Formats: sequence, structure tokens, C-alpha cells
Amino acid sequence: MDALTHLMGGFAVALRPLNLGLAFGGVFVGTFVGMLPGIGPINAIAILIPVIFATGLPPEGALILLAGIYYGSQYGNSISTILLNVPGTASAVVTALDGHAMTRQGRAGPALAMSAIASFVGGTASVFGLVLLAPVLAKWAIRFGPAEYFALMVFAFSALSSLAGGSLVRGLAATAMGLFLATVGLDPNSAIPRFTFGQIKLLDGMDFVVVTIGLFAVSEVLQLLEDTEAGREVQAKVGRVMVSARELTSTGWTMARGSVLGFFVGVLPGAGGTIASFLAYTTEQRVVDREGTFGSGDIRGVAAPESANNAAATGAMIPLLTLGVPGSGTTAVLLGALLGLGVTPGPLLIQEEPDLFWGLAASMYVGNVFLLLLNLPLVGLFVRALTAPRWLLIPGVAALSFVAVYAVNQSPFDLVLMTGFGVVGYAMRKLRFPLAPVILGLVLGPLMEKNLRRSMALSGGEWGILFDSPVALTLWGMAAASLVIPPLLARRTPLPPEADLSEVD
Amino acid sequence: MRRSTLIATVLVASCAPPASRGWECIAPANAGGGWDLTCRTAGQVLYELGEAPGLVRTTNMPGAGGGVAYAHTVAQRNGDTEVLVAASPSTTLRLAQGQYGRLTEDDVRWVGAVGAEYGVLAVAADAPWRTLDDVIAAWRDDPGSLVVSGGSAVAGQDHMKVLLLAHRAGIDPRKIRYVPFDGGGEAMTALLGGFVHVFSGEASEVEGQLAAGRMRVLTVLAPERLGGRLAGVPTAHESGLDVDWVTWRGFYVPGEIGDESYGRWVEVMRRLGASPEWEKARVTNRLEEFFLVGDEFTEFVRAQVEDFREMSREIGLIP
Amino acid sequence: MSDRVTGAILVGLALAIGLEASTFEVAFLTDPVGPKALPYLVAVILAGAGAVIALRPRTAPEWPGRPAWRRMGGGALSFLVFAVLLEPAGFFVACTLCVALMSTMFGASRWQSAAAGVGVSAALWGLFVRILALPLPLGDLWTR
Repeated sequence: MDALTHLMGGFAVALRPLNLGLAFGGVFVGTFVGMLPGIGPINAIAILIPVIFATGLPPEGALILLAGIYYGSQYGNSISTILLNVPGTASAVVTALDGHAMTRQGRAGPALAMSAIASFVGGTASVFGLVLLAPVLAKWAIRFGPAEYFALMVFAFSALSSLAGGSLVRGLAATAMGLFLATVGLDPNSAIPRFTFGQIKLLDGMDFVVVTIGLFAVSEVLQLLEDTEAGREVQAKVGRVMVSARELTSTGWTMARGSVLGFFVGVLPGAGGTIASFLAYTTEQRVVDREGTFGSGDIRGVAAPESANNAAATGAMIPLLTLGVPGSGTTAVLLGALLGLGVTPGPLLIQEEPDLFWGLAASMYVGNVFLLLLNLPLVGLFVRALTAPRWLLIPGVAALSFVAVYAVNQSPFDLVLMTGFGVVGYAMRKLRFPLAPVILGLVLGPLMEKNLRRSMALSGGEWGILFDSPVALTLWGMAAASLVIPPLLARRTPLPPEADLSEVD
Repeated sequence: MRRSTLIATVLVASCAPPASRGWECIAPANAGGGWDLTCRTAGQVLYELGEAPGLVRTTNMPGAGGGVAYAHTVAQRNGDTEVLVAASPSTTLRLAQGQYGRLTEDDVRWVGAVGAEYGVLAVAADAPWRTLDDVIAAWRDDPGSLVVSGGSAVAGQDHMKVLLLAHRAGIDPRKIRYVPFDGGGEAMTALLGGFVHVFSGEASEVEGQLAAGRMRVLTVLAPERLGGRLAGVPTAHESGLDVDWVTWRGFYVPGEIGDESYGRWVEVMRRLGASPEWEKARVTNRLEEFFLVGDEFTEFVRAQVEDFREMSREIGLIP
Repeated sequence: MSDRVTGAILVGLALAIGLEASTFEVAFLTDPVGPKALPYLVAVILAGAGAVIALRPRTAPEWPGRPAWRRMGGGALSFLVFAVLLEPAGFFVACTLCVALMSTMFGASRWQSAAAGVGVSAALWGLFVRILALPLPLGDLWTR
């Protein structure tokens, strides 16, 4: 109950007019910046930090603003993902599967509204998690060592089959391609370059944004060009803008599960939103997808990753604030901002700066309300953008993606690479290879490899370390269960029709 | 189609902008890192001081630990008098290890360093090692008995700190066990979780944990003791090991800008370093005073690259 | 047929990855697993999957006709135009040409594509340079 008293104090801070305005401003700016393909929360925050320093805001005000930008841009990212199939961050890739499928069916409105609502639910539920569990979870997160991370990655990969669409073999091949891309660059454990072919620009590895925008967005443009000729062009249907009551009730448990799962995964440093959204999506598919509609425009396929993703964003604040350990790229940037504001996050933060901690928690709740209020009315507007003539809309969005990628990396080489990935992505769609596993391999591959090698370095080559702790064993058990149980269930229920993720029109 | 694009080209070309574009600072990494902060902070102060003709633009050019920006500066900006590039020991270390291809430290001109952090070695508060000497003694018994974590890759800054210490203490650096993590934060978590024994990082990284009494800093790799919370921590020199790790923050400029322009940059840095505005920004960003410009800085960089090269060769990282 | 070719390509890729990985030489080993393990695993998975796909082809995709290839070629070209021209000729030229070309591929008239090119370039310039303060190149050809 102590926590709740503090939280009330926090609300007193958050509801000050200045802070209310900052939360709103942050969410607003974040939404629009996040919509730009390839400019995720990290860049949004990093670009705005000097501006914020220059304004001389008090620390809690600045932090409220930054947090607003953080989850605002995460939601903004879902907008371009759902409408245009341009996921700008790894965590939005699974949202694209069902979200963009819904857009193609003329259900962009409900998809966007669902995304806003699920983000709200995930964000709100996790704020309570933050308030009630922060100190306990901080201790738990510390006990999560390389071996446990490795087991978590194995669990995440075991969910692969549900992303593979029709053919497991093609799913495996796509994952292997992602893993291959993940190995490109300087190997941090041995300081040797792998698959860089002397190209200095490849030493840092494949930029996730380049691969994703290439595979998804560029190949989408090529596909649309093909369809234009074939006379199969589907004029964007606007349709209904809001979710129906039935859709809302059917996703209630999905959002609840997504929020809880996302929150706990988000707390783990280094895991974050991507794993959270992938796990939420694949878990949900096993739990509720009886008809096999996931991947072809199932609204629950939007609700699950969106709630998880936002819950993870809040969860990631726990290690940052209570340990001073950033759990993701975005929170690392936030850490820099905090230090610059004269706040040292760490175990003492809650005691030393109660106004800041509880004010932030309360303002995250307020910010989530703003996010919902701001975005539900705008859904109709965003959807209408799709009715712009195709010769203007598609080149415009394509150029936007290209400029965004260039503005962040300053590398024309990346643009050529992106075009190449677009061609590969088009071929993969045609040959019915699912695209999402490539991203799974690319994003989780390095985490899996690094943590395996760290474990081995720690144990001196003793494999037993991987099964040493209860947490690791539990995760191994879950991985095994997720491989074994679905086939058993499938034997009892009639086989679902093949969900086809590579289908485009 | 051909005609329309032609028209468009003419339209666009006719409104080509004037030549002066203001000052630009290239941060050779993504937004949010140390180089980015160097550029944005110094750029802001240079503008406030009226040194710069307008707002200083920060361009992020990530890639190859600064290698992309280095190659870009040499190949495409060699005579550009309005561009600064942020640098740190990460730059000199990679130059020394040949990670920038054929480019050397003499391909650009080194303007100055305007602040620094110092390296530290820390252990968990309840660890049995109370001083740097304890750790060295443990290494002497069995170099493989301690595992060190750090936020940089193998052969990166955090790794080099321990290698240098071991080397100076007469222990075979190749036997030291180092596990790289993604950034100091994760490396520190591994220490707090009890997965590793020693953490190698920067002074600013350990402040929060130190205040909470969860970590003990064994040594600072600075010429003299630091102030603030770390005032009680001895330097490595006090243990008889002459190892400093100065994570300086500074700048280089393109190599072919001529002595006059170079001299102007040096004067600009001198005035920046002397200004109270920079002093304030430096303290905000947790940087210690460290100021070297012009020839002095160039000599410093050359010596550092040479040191790193020798060290890397000795432990077999480069031929 | 498509599947057989794809399978063969995957097997070839696997071989190339495996061969390249076998050349990795480590000067300073910090972990017993080493940098070769993951590439080898990738090669094995790719070779296996490629073999299955080549030997048991399942799908025969409907490849588009020549006009569609031309459009898609134009689309890919417009991306490359942007990438290649951006730094030498500057943002306005690259972006205008890229958008105009792509827009033509989507069936726009001359004037429509020109308007799209100029309009999109101006809008993006305003957004990135004016609002977000992210620099875009003006073109080395004009500014030197």
C-alpha cells in the first residue's frame, strides 16, 4: 500500500499543468516522428535531447517529456507499419503480419484503433507493474545471466514454426538467412571481421533498418508495380474506422496476456520490445488461433504484439531507473539524458528522488491516456491518406523511407543495399518464403550467439552452465513444450488451412 | 517522361544554394553515444560563444567504430574547412590496430581534446578483493581465476585497460579472461549478478552503484586521484603500475585544409576550453578537465597510437 | 522449376558460407565456441533446407509478364538513381528524379510525375532539414 500512497504523490506531480503539457507534447511529437520509417524511438530521443537541455526544464519535466516521446514514437511506428508495411523497428515486424493484412482488406481503421487501444492497455497495465514490482524485479533481472539469456533465445526461436506460415522448411531457410546476416561484421568476441569482404561499411554488421525496409517496404513497392500492370490493383478501401465491440471483447485476454508477458520480458536488460512482441504473437497464436487466421488479418495478431511492445517499453524503465542499467538502445540514450540532467539512476533513485520516480510513473499513465485520446480521432485521417492516388502515395512513401535511412546513417551504400534486399524480398514473396523469420534470425541471432559464447567463456567450456539455474531450466522446459505441444494439439483438432504470410494482395 | 524530369532538374538546379553551409560536426556513431554527445555539446557551446557562424550541425555517421567517418573525411572532405570530427581513444586504438584500413593517424589533423573520463576497475561490494594489489596477486597465482567484464569488444578499450595492467604487472596478458558485453551497463549487471569478478569501465558508469554501496572501485587509471565520490580510490600508480586510461574527447579535421584554417581551429578550441560555458557543459556531462590543443595534442595522439600498436602486437592482436 | 533453382541457390550459398567461415583465423580466443560455430550452423540449415526444396518442389509461382518486369525494373532503378545521385547531385535532383520515375511506373502522366517529384522533394526537405534539423546533402557538384 505504501507504493500506492507514493503513486498518489506522483500524480500530484504529473498533473501539474506544465507536466501535463509536457506529457502531451512528448506523445504528440513522438507519434509523428515515430511514423517516419526508420526513425524509431532512439533517434527521436537523441535528436531532441540537446533541445531539451537547452530549455532548462527541471529533471522530472524533462524525463516526462522524453518518456512521452519514447512511447509516442513506438505507437507512431505502428501506424506506418500497419498502413504501409514499413516496420521501422524490430518490435513492429510482427505487427505488420496481421496489421498490414487488415489494411489490404480495407480494415486499416480497426487495425489502427486496435493498435492504439492495445498500446494503451499494455502501457497502463505495465505502469502498475512498475509501481508495485520495480524493486523486486530489479533483483530478478540481475540474476539473469548469459546462460539464462541463451535459454530465453532458444525459447524465442522455438516459436519459429508459428511464424513460418505454411512451410517449416522455408521458415527454417528464412531464419538461417537472418542468422547469416546477423554474423556479418566485426565479431565482438574475437575481434575478427566476418563476411565483410573488406568492406569497411560492413564492419558494424547489417543495419536492421536497412534489412527491414528493404525486405518489407522496397519489395512491397515492387509487388505493387507488378499488380498495377496485371489490372489487379486494389483501390484502398477505407471502411469502418473504429473497432467493433465484438473485436474489443475478443481481444481482451489477448491484450492481458500480451501486457504481462511484454512487461516481464521488457524488464530483462538486452531483451526488450522485439522479443516481447515476437513471443506475445507466437504465444497468442498457439493459445487462441483455432481457425488458423493469424497472419491473414486477425485483429488479435495486432493486439498481442502491440500490447506487449508497449508494456516492454515500461518494463525497460525498471533496470534503467533502479539499477542504472539501460536495457535497450533507447533506454541507453535516456540514461545519457538523465546523467546530463544531474540525476544518477541507481538503487537509491527511488529514495533520493521520489518526485522524479513516482512523478514519472504517474505521468506514464497520463501519457498513455493522451496517446489514446490523441490517436483514436486521428485514425480516420491516417486511413484516408491511403486513398491518395497511388502514383503519388507510393513514390512519396518510398522516398520518405530512403531519406529517413540516409538521414540517420549518412550512407548511400546502405541505400543500394536496401534496394538489393528489396529485390531479394520480392523473390522470397514470390517463392512463398516467409519474411518475418529473417528478422527473427537477424535480431535474435546475435543475442543467442553472444550469450552462448559468454556462458562458455564464463564456464571455461563447461556446457553444464546452460542448465545450471532454475530459471534456465524453466525456459528450456517452455521451449521443449512449445515444440512438442502444438503437434499434439493439432492431432486432435482438424488441421488448419495454411496461413500464408508471403501472400501480398 | 524524359521531358518532365528534365524540367524538374532545371527547376531544382536553378535554386542551388550558396556555398557556405555553416559548421558541421561529424559524430562517427549513432545518436546518443559519447561522440554524438561531444559534437552536440561542443557545437552548442561554440554557437553560444559566437564562435560558429550559426548553429553547428551534428551529422551522425556510424560505421566501423569511426572508420566510416574517418575514411569519409580523408576521401571526400579533405579540403573542407568547416567540418570537425569527434574522436576519442577508440579512434586511436582502431588506428593502431589497423582497423581503418590503410589510413593512419597522419591522414587527418588533430585539433584538440576538450575533456576526459578515466578508466576504473571495480568489483562487487562483497568481493574478497579489496585493492588492486589483491587482484594482481590473484592473477599471479592463476591468471585464469578471475573473469573480467567490460562494455567493449575484445581488443576494445575496456579490454585494453586490463591487458595493460596485467602486462605492466608482468603477467601474460593472453591468459587474462575477458568477456565482452554490449556496453558498460550490461557488463556491470553481470558483475552485480555474480557472473564475473571484475568490471572494467569508466568512472561515470560506476557512480550510481558506488553511491548505493553495491560496488567497490579498486583503482582509477588516472595520473592523480579524482575528486568527488572517487576521492578515496587510489590510482594504479600508487600500486606501482604506470597505467593511465584517459578517455579523452576531442576532434580532428581534414588533412588538407592548410595551416591557416588549422590554426583557426586550434584557436577556436583554445577559446572553447577557456570559457566558463564549456566548463559548465563539461561538468554536466561528467567529464574531467583535460585540455590539449594543436601540436601538443598531435604529439599526444601519435604517441598514443604508437603505444597501442606496440601493445596490440605484443598480445598477438596484430602481426 | 523455380523451386529447384531456389534450392540449388540455397545449397550454393550454404557452401560459400561454410567455405568462407573455414578461413576465419582467431588471434585472440576468449571463448571456447569461437566465431565459426554460428556460420557453420547456418550453412548446415541452409544446405538441408535447400536440398529439401530442390528435391521436393511444391510451389510454382506465377512470374509476371514482360511489361510488369519493365515496371519493376524501373522501380528498382529509381531507388538506385536516388542512392547514386544523392551525394554528387544533391537531395533535390536525386529525390525529384527518383520520385518522378517511380511515379511514371505507377502510370502517372508526365505532369503528374513531375509534380510528384518536385512536391515530394520539397515536402521532405522541409520535414527533415527544417523541422528535424537532420542534414541532407546539397550536392557536391554545385557546392564546390
